[in-house]
Amino acid sequence: MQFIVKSGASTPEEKFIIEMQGDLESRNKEHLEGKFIGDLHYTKDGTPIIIIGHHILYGKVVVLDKPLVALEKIQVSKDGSDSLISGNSDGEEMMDLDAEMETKTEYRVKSIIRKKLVFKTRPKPIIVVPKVGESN
Amino acid sequence: MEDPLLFDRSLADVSTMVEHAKLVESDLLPLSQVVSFTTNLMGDNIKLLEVSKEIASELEAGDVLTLRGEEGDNTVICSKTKTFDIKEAETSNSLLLVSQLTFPDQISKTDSRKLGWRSVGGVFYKYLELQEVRPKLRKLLQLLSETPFTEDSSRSGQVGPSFGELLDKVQASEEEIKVGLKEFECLEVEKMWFVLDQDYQMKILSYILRFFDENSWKFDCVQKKETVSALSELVPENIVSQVFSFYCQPMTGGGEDEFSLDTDKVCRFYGDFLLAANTGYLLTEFLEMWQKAVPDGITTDIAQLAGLVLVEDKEPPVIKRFTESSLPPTITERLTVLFTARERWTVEEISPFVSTLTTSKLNVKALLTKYARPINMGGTKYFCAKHGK
Repeated sequence: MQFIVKSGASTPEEKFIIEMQGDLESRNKEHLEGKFIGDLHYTKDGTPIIIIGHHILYGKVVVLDKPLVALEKIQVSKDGSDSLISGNSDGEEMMDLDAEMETKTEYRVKSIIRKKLVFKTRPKPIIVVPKVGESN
Repeated sequence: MEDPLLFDRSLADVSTMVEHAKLVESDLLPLSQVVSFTTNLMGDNIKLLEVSKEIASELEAGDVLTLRGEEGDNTVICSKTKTFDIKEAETSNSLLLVSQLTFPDQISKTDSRKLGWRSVGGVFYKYLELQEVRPKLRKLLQLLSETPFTEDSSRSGQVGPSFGELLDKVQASEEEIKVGLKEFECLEVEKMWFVLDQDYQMKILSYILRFFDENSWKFDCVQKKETVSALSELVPENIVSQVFSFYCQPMTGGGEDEFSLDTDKVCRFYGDFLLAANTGYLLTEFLEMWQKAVPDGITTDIAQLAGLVLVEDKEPPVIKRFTESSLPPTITERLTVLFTARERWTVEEISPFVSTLTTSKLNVKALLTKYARPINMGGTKYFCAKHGK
């Protein structure tokens, strides 16, 4: 049995990763959608700094020794016409038996990641002392 | 196209934050990137796979990776030339995937401060790792051994697997399967692949060698066209031509139709043939019989049987068939069998039996150092079982 991993009609996009220690607030995706995460700055000597909530984290730019590719599992028609039948969004195991169907499973390379920002230093808390006269 | 944002953020908001964080704005490059989650986050159908730079480039260029395996197998991934195990790695970090990101070297120091908007399309806590492994060619041999090609096969219309079927069932890359087919001396007949039955192979080889003798050709200069054409009355042309190629290589400095017989290979085949017929021989008897069996002008040497035989430490010594392909596929199990068969081995003696388990990270010496115990006897270095007597 074989499943193909390929680029598909278009060249994969280049994407990037921001890597941070620990879990983000919640793993519940609905809760996160559309939400603001933080502000990303760089010092003049190129050190990335990210301010998330009441924390400030320092990091570095890393070129990946081993690039990552993002694979999307899709069903294509068996005649190889490459038309998408349906996206598969319920996290099934990789080895599907779909021999009876007129479709086959393929893994499309959606993007390639070669660079990331890594924030590994422990977050420093930001203490905001309201000034006299400020409303907040 | 930008995601509509569910929040507002201005340059002033960002500057305020910088101030609260006790950073000095003039110490920062003039681009601040506002990072948020997209409204349409990726589901579990997207997975991250770690690959080599080489494979990343191949994928960009349109090459494919293929996942291979049948039920009960651990899935492997194959490029055109290599085979890899897939392992899932978890990280204690969160990996946020962004489609756009500006890096320090892309920002001009003299611009005025601007904001950039960056959407995180997905968060990952796991990724898949590739580990290069030896192709699982044992399955190839097993599959082919189910339908060997015998003298009757042409007439009976014997069916065997196609290359496509082999790709489907064997966990190896295309290139590796092709190399395997060559190593196992497989025959292609009407786009199907076969191993040749030993008796039939002996028959065909004998015809070929006898023809060389009848023409008084020297072994280093024999002719293909005439041989194949003359023998096609006895054996289908396609078959005799392939068997010819198993044993004859183009002659160095020879003409287009001139080939040299690989006499070592011939001896090996004859030796294997004799040993397959019997469970064991006294070494001295075997060597005599073997030399007599091969054509005149060819000299046998036990080195030609490397990886095929075991000479037991008995008095008088006994030789029996002992093939690498019959040994267990894992290192520890294989070494147990080897050290049970013989208490100690030199590196040279044991190499043919373990070389298929080596990888680019673990060669024979490294393998033995890790899994066996070196001992020195009478100035010769041997390896024996790591534990036990």
